Amino acid sequence: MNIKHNITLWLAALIFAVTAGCSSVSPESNAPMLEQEEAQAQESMMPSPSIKAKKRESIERDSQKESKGSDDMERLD
Amino acid sequence: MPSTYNKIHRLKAQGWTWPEFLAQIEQVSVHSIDEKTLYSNFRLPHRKPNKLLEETISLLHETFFPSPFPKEVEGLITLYNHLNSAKNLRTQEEDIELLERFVLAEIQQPESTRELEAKPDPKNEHSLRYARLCWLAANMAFDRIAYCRDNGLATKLAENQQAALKWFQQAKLAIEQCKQSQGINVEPFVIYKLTQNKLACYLNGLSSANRLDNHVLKGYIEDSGYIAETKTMLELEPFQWGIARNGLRFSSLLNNAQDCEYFFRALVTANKHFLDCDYQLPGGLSLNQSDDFQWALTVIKDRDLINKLDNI
Repeated sequence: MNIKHNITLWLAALIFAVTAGCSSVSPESNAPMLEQEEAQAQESMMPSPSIKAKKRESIERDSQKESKGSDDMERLD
Repeated sequence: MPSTYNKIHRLKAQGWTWPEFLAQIEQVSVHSIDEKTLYSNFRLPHRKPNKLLEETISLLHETFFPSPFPKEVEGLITLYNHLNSAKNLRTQEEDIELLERFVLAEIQQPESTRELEAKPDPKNEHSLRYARLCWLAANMAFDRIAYCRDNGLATKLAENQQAALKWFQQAKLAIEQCKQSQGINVEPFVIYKLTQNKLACYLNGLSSANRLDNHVLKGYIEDSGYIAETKTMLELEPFQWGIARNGLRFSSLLNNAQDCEYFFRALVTANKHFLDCDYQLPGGLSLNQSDDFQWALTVIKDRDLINKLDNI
């Protein structure tokens, strides 16, 4: 009984700590795991975009990373 | 299309005060723009304009600097740009292919080509229409170049490069013919854009590592007259940081120290934020991050340009 009670208290404390931590996380925080999981779950429910679109997104993200990557010229209309 | 930043600068360069600018906005739009928003988009190239500002400035810009091209083709260009930049559009590739098929059918009609080669087109709009459709066809091929490069599709890369170059060149010929034979006034910047786009076809076909010391690319740059044209454009529109940046890029790739200094000065003149070589615009790389500018950065450092220009 005592052990059960302790486990229950421990679990409650853990849940409280996780919840409190999530609410204090700043928008710029580097804790994307939960967001990534949610995004992946949503993505799996949506029709798969074309390969080219996926490639384009990947290329756009790569170009925004802080790296000496390909610095392409934009076309002018 | 010019960015909102460039449009604001071009409009302001007509000599308007800020109250006059705001009054002009009120003439074209029922929605007012506050001076602070307008001024911050004037000062900061990295500022992303809100939709209202973007649309209002576009409207005003079209009033004072109307496009020489037929509105229906401008509409197709806008439509394609929206399609091309759409995220998570399942039918994106197919939709673009459908549009491309229509555009190619229009410009490859035998009568269009015969008229262009045999005699001046009696209708101004038709030749400018043809020119702008060629431009659109070129844009579609151009936008596939980087994708083919990054995915090792050498044959497709070459096909798209050649198609883009061909249609940009056709557009340029058609416009020049309209100017010469019909006296249509097309501002120099329109032709310049096509020169730059052609150069971009060559540059974007190469990965960063392959651009340095690339004799073929250097030959294209030199043969195109791009550097001289860019200097002329910057004298007309010194706020054009994008073309100053590309002038610096190509001067760097050509290892021309004098031109590197010229274009860095022009870039800082366009906007003082570029004194910071880590200054980065959304979706772009800073000078420090880009391999294309490394040679220029040594010139900038050796000549102490940042300190000299910061004190002006």
